[in-house]
Amino acid sequence: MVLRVMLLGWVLAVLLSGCASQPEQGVVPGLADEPAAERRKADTQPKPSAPPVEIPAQPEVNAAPDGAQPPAVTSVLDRASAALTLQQWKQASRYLDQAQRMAPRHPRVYLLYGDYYRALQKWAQARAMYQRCLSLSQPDSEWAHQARFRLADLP
Amino acid sequence: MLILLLVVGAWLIYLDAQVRYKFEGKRWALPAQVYARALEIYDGRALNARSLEHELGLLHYRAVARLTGPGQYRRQGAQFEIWRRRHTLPDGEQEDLRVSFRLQNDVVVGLSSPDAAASFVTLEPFKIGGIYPASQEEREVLRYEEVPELLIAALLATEDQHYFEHWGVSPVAIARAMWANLRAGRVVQGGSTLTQQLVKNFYLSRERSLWRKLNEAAMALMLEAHYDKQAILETYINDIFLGQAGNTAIHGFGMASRFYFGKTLEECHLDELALLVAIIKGPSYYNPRRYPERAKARRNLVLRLMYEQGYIAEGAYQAWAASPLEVMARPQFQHDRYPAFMDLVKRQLRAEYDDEVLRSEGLRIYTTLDPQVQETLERAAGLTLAGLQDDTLQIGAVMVGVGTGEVQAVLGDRDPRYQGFNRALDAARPVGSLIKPAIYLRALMEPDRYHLLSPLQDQPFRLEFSNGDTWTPSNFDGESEGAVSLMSGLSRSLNIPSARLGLELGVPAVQAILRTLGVSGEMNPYPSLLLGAQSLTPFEVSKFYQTIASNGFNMPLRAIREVTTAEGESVSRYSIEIAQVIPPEAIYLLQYAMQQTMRTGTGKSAYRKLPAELNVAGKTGTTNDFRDSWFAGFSGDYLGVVWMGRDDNAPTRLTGASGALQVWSEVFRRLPQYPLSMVKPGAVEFVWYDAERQVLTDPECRGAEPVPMWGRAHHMPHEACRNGFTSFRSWLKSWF
Repeated sequence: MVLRVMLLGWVLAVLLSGCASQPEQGVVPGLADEPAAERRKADTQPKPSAPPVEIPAQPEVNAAPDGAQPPAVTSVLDRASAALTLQQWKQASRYLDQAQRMAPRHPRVYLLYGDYYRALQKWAQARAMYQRCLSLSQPDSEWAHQARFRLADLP
Repeated sequence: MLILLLVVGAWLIYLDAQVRYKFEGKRWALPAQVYARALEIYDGRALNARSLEHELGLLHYRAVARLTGPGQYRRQGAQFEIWRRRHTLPDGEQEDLRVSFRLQNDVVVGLSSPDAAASFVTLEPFKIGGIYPASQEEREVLRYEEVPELLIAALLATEDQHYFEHWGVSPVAIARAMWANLRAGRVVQGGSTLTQQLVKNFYLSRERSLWRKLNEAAMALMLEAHYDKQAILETYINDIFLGQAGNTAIHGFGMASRFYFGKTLEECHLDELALLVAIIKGPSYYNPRRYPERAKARRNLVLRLMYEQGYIAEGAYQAWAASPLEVMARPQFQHDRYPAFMDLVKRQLRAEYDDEVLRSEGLRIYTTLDPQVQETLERAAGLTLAGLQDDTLQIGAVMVGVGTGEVQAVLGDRDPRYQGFNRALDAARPVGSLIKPAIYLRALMEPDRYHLLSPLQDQPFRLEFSNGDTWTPSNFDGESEGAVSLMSGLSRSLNIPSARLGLELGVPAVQAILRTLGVSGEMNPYPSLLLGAQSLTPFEVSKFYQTIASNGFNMPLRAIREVTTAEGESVSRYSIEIAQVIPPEAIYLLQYAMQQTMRTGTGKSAYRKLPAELNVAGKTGTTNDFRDSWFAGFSGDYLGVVWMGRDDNAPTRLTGASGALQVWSEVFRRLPQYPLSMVKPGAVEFVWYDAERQVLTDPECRGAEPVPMWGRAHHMPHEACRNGFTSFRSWLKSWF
């Protein structure tokens, strides 16, 4: 036992600072804290030197706040939101379709779609859109909270 | 005499009614025009230079050193400058616009415009076809204000110098023509005005008789009495026959400029306008592609007449007359460029629109076809089929946008231009192991019974039916391992564990989940369903896999975004419709296992072509005696389904991996896209699993792999590391 403690003490003394800066091994896929804005699109050219990894990396998608989306997407969504506020349904729907093509994984697209259908009292479609928003949001994200709140509020 | 006068009067009234009825009604039967999706460019959009240049080529943009007008682009390495043409979209008029941006690692960055604040720009959509009446006519209707003044000048100088002075008939011109013809002893000159020419083409037959000439003159006078000169000239400009593309007649200058020069009439130079006017006299005789010298001489005559009548200066005449003919080698009209996709569009349209409306109202159909994806699919299929060196192999394939349900490409034959049997939509073939994800999904929807590490028996069995028939499934390699995990059963596509799992769940339960995923039609009620004895078309498989790729949300596949009138007024819009049909937790586990298929299972050969960082999920499918080779898989952006086989159902020697997967990975290698990235539902947790010992273990253990779990991991033993640690630090950590 004494030997173990001595050995540990020696190891700790040597590695105290160095170990702390080493990356954690065996990060659980899907929990990597990688903002969407920093994710790079996969290079489409094959890299023969890069061996296939054993565990598929699963960066969190759309975890980043709205501002991390391309400005064009944010701009279209803002217009959709404004059109909804002004009850310009046709225009809102057009902007939402456009935003959905540009960013089909962005939770805000579906949150606004849900608002659109809720305003038209199409409850089933509204529910489906809020559920889609939830499925694309981190459980504790603002989008998830908003979607849950609206789902609870549906008749 | 009175009777004669009455008859003549009645006849004139009849002619007058004819003139007004047609001129004021629908002048032409305008075919529906079908367009690909408009390319949207904005910062952050995935786009590669090769695809962009290809699309610019389809749209006949010219690469230049310096932009001088619409329809041009300039490329300097990764930097692009495009002068977009003016066009109409369902969103409204899009003005011509100069934009510049850079393609950095196949992503658009720095989009800007010197003309306007632009964070988003849309190019005009590529026209992929039309829905034509029996007499196929192509026509782009222009308003008078849209017609270049020089074209009108060329027209008047050549065809009717006194157009704005006469009343429809020009006695002077007739007398001059008669004199010229008498002197020559044959017909060398016509005396018809533009109005008479219009009447002849618009109202009358091609018969050459005095009676027709009289009618023509009377109707020309009536036309001029009722309508102004500009309206008549506008109709002439849109009606005149100017060429033939296969079985399609080219009418009007708007379409002719695209047919001969690949550009709008507005973009044509003087020599090109003069050539179009030159062709009027005989589109076949003066066909500039077949008889360039003859056409050039006639063009120069038009230019000379313009100069002589003061429309252009001598210098301009000399310069343009010396210019060569620059006519496109091949006509732009390629109605049959994407026949398999057009087939899908027509089926969807005909379910909602009357055929007559489609053939005559000039509707504009805005589709979801992405020419870049379509051409990539065609290229990949061509390369793979050429490599297999078997001319009898056939293919059907569909590409869909994940999460949008938009069909972006369809391939119905090994020859992409073939217009016959469309295998993507109509070849229903047994799907083999493509059905397995449905079985595993059904199991994973019961978290109290199954999880990814649930053991499945991998021991042969025999099922006996009441009629004496037996069913004895076996694994592809004929071996069995005793027991495997559920995840391994799927990723390695093992038949025995899959069949056992399916029987545990019950065939009706598997049928039900297939219906939930989007499979419709008659379904095999026997256990052989569990190993894919169910015929589906590639399009039907796409519906089924789209639900899996879209996190359990069912959405109808769409080939059309919007239909508008010829004037741009919206008739129908097809927005996304979704319904959540599968719990997100079960889909998450399934997608995870399907990624394992690609990393370590039957689909791993895809990574010989794909970059390691591109996460994809998929499933191979092979049927008995290698008759059908299937693959269905998806990234973050695209879902692709490919079938390969023979029309006579003969064996192919191809597995799903050696056939269809090769086409699929060639496509996915080439497309710029985002990888599949899943959002972990709150109820899913990861455990660490030692596959060798089939126990749960600690993250620090060597060989430990994370596995997602929904609910609890049933009765799984947990053991400490035995095969060492992943690092010294891990070992150190285990002490505390």
